[in-house]
Amino acid sequence: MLSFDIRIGKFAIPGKTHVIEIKNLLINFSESLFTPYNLTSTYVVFYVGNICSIAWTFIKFASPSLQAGRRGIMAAATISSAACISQSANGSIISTRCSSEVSPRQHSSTSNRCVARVGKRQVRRAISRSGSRHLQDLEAGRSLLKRVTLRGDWDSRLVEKDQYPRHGIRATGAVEAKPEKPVRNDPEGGNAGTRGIDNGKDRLSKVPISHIRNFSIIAHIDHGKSTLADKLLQTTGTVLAREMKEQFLDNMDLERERGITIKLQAARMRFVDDDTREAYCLNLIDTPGHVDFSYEVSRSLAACEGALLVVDASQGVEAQTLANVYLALESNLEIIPVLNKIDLPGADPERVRREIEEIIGLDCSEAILCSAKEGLGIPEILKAVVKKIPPPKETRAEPLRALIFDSYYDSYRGVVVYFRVMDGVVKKGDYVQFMASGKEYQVDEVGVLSPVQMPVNELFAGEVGYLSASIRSVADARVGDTITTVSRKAAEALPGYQLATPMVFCGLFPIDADQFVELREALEKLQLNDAALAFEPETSSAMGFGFRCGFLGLLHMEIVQERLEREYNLNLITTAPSVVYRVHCTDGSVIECSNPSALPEAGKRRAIEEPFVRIELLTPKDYIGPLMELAQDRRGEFKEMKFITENRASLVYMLPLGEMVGDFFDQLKSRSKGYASMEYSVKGYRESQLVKLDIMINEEPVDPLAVIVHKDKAYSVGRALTQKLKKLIPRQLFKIPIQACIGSKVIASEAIAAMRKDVLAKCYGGDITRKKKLLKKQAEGKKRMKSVGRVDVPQDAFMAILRLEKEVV
Amino acid sequence: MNRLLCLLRPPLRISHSQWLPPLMSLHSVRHLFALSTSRLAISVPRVRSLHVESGAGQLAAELMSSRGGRLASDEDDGVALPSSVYVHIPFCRRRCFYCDFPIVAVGERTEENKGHMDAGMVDYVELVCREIRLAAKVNRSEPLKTVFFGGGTPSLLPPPLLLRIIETLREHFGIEAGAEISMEMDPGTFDVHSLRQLMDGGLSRVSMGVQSFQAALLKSCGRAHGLSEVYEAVEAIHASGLSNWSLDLISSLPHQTLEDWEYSINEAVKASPAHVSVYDLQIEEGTLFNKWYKPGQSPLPSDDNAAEFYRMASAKLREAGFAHYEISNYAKEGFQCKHNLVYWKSLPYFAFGLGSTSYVSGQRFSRPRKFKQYREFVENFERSGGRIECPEDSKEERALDTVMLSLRLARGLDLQAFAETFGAGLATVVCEALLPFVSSGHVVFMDADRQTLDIKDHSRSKAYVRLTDPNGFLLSNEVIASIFSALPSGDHSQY
Repeated sequence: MLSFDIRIGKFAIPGKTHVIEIKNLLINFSESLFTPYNLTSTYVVFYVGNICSIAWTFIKFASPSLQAGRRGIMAAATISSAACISQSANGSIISTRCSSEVSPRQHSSTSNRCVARVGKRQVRRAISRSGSRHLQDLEAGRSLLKRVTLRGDWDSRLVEKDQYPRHGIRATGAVEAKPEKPVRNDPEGGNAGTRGIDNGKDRLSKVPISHIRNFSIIAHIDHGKSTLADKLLQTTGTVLAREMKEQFLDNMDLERERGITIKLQAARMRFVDDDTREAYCLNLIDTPGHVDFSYEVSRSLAACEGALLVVDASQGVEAQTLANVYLALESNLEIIPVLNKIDLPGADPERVRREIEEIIGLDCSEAILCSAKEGLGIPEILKAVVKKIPPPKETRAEPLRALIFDSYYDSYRGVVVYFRVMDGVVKKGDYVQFMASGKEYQVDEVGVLSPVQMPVNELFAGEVGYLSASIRSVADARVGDTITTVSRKAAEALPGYQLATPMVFCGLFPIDADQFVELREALEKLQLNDAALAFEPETSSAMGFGFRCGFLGLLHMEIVQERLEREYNLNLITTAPSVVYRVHCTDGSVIECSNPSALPEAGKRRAIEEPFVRIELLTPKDYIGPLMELAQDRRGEFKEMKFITENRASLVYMLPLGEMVGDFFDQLKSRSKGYASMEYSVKGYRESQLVKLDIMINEEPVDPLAVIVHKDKAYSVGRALTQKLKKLIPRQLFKIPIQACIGSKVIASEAIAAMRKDVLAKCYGGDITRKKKLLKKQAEGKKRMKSVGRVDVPQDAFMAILRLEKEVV
Repeated sequence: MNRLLCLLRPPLRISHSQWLPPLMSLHSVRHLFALSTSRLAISVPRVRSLHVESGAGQLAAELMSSRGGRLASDEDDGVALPSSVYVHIPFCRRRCFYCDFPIVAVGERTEENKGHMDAGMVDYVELVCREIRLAAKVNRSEPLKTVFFGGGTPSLLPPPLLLRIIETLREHFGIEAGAEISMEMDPGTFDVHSLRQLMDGGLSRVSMGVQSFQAALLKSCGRAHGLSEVYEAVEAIHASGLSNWSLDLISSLPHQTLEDWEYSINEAVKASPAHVSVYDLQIEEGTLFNKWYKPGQSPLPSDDNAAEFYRMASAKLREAGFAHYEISNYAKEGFQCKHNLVYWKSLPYFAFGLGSTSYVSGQRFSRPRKFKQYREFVENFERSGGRIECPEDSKEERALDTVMLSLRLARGLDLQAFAETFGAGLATVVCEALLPFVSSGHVVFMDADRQTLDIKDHSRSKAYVRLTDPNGFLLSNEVIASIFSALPSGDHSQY
């Protein structure tokens, strides 16, 4: 059967005014998998799991005026069934593929029967009917699509550089899989550089398991982890100099800009030891450098036998250095200390060496001095990896167990899973099961990451690679899950799997109500790639339709917001972040509540518990005072303080997570002039004296502005919010009281005086056109207002007050 | 009110109309148009059945289309031919600090520059007369009922020149007997003789720009005359025997106090004009005031004070026997400015001269504001045989005009006429948008006898709606903008 598999990429294209409209939808989907979600006269949307598919037979361009005319109806449609509709509102683009294949989305119950697949590679087909303008749009849509898939853009990037034919790197990888060559002799010897490049060419060659080394790099943020990874890739010839960009493995725009690693990367390198002339296969597994992703870090560490601990030779041990070392020790990794940035004038390797020994208790006598930037000490590091890190265990004969340390969604191949084979072998064509989710798929492709994806026929125990199997969603193959074969199942999954649970929540509302559908689609797309992202629809009289979203932590939240705005061109209002409170009700039930407006009434609750974190601050001693003050302000409970060196101290506090979700980190940095670092871990729930603070405008509570605060802070927060609102809300026909209330008790109150005068004195023959324009502009302004009861509140006021809430709460 | 608020949203599947208004309950529609049902094409029982069967959206569509057809035929019949003319005389001695009109500052008239100045004025009048002659030839019109010379300072023009324009109008358009020929005059630019001369030529109304009765305030806003000239001018008018004259004042001038303002109003009343215009100072872009001051901030009065000035003017002038017939205009019985009413009733009018705007055959056309470009325009106008390239206002635009202009008047918006011209749907939208302002006391509905209706009273039908005096007038922009945001916009291009 011919199935259209069309994914909507609803991307507003800057500068385009027209819109593609989907008309007269008529496609027979035989499977009951396809549920028509919403049927209007213009289009039908089908939902298959998380993938929203649309099919059409006829596309036409609507003129801008038609678009304007349609808008009202579209908007109305949105309101009537807000949950799920797809529409092409303004300047959106549909990207399409047509594949002739048996639907890859088999129901899990039928997949056992292993339906043979016809024609695997999906063929892109541009729809040429609408002429060149349309094609241009398709191209534009694709280029946007490229940005959306995280690492799927390796191909395109290389293509752009004209290094490989159009089919991309996966095709060139087909040279692959030479039979095992035990040792590659290098008769010329030559210098390390040329050998490195030769090694690069052979990096797909198999080596015996005793010559495999799996390791990762752990470091505090900015200690040079990504630069060191770059240098390792370069030295081993994995990435040629001309392909090299700084921070090669951080390929999201956002990662580069912020200088952080958000998503994991892995790279297989070939290294020939100068002395023994033996070839080794080194798998570097990069880790994200932020506490929000500590679970992902722990999984990638679990996939290794060793780790390079990179410490900045001038800054010394920082909070995340410690946290990551502990994680590595939990996984029983061999740790190789590396002192980086020794070329800096302020570098003091001896002091840092002592610090590491004192604080971490790690023998640093053989610590490697290096400068990743200058390329110093890189061969030594490679040698140490080979020498010190133990090889994986030879467990090839056992049933397959592979640990997923990362996965991402690719719009062409489904989820691509990065894993380490712990036991057994995985081959192309195998039927595999994901033990935690129970989902089964047939492997379309296995390969290694080097760091581009290169297909191979099989991967055996000890090796690191990727597989794709037309997996529908990241949720089916989560980080930490174990892959096994259906035919020969492993008895037990690998330990350590956890479901990522969101810790921080906030409301996301589109500024333009018309963007609701686009926001939903964007969130769905991100969720394909990010199993930790949770969202559910939320409505509010003041903000309209939006979503309550859950995140792992603050950075995660910020990144998602930024990607929504940047990659999907959405304009969003975000409410103040909130944590998950545990409410004990008088009827004995316990409710988890992440939305202040959903908090049970005061009479119905007995107590509120909030999550607490153990926070460790590392700071030069000069800033101990200001930081203690900060922690105390945020209801921190002092645990301990110790001097780790003469000049640096470690402060430990128990702190409510809710106090940290605001601007705590910014404050930490500003009060310590940027020198302090922090690390936190959630330690469970504790009861607190919390109240819900409602903001009332003209006696109407405004849900999105409601916050849960500690009793002692309610007054100052209430005062700050009411004063700000008074400044922001324009005068209206009547006097407007603005109040902050706890239950029915008003704790702060302001009033906006009634509007007195708004009149155009003269309006004679020559004035009419101009005055009408002014009034129209005023009317437009009104349309942008959000009404709270009878009061019109400008959008800007909401944004400003929500910003303020983030600061004062 | 409850009934009016009961809304029916148009069903989703109606997609043929670009915009559909939310509807009032049927009851209210019928109630609103009870008086005019005989004139409506669709009788009420039929409406009801439509409503039940096919939904409110279609009802509105049908009502609107039936009204629309009527309107088109009205225009073809030529019911509203222009019978008013505005002539712009751009000369001033100097530019006042608040003024952004298209004017030419010519300085004081002296023996030396007299010749040059007169030559320039003759030249301009000649140009205007050329435009008049051609416009009269290419447009259908009726004999003129109103003529208005605005400026600028029309009284700077030597009377013979002004009379030449009147004669040209009379020759080419015809002027009805008893027509209102009005002219703006500034103190210090005329005397009883020149006034008599003009009156002999047909002038029947004078609008005198006094602005303030404080010498300091006159100076601070850059007026070319002092206080003594004001009193001399008032005397001259009385001496000429002209009773239909208006005195213009400006409130909210910089440094103006409530006492200053009260004194100015008292003096204005003492001068016993038949009409008083009171303009709240607007700070326009490109003026010196805009450079110097910020609205609502000292030395300009606060919004609250400016509102107080307005209330005082309204109260005191009504007390003195003036009717507050437009936001900024007050008149004794029978002395409303007929020409200005043409604007506010959205009637058509011709306009001639620099920067003037005409409204003929649904086209609002503004002439160039610069002398050179205006001359080129007249020459082009002649070359093209009287063609003016200007888009015709859409129906939506005309609806907005009608709302904006008629709500300026105490007479208010004639709901039945509006419904007949623009459709019951739009009228409903307007009423609905006004409801919140009724409860806040800024708007009142009136019956056909102009009796104010209680909003809960459904025994009499609503015929007019107006802004209240002074509260509604003071917030007229707010009210009108609210209606605008509920009405469909005339041009889609901006979205």
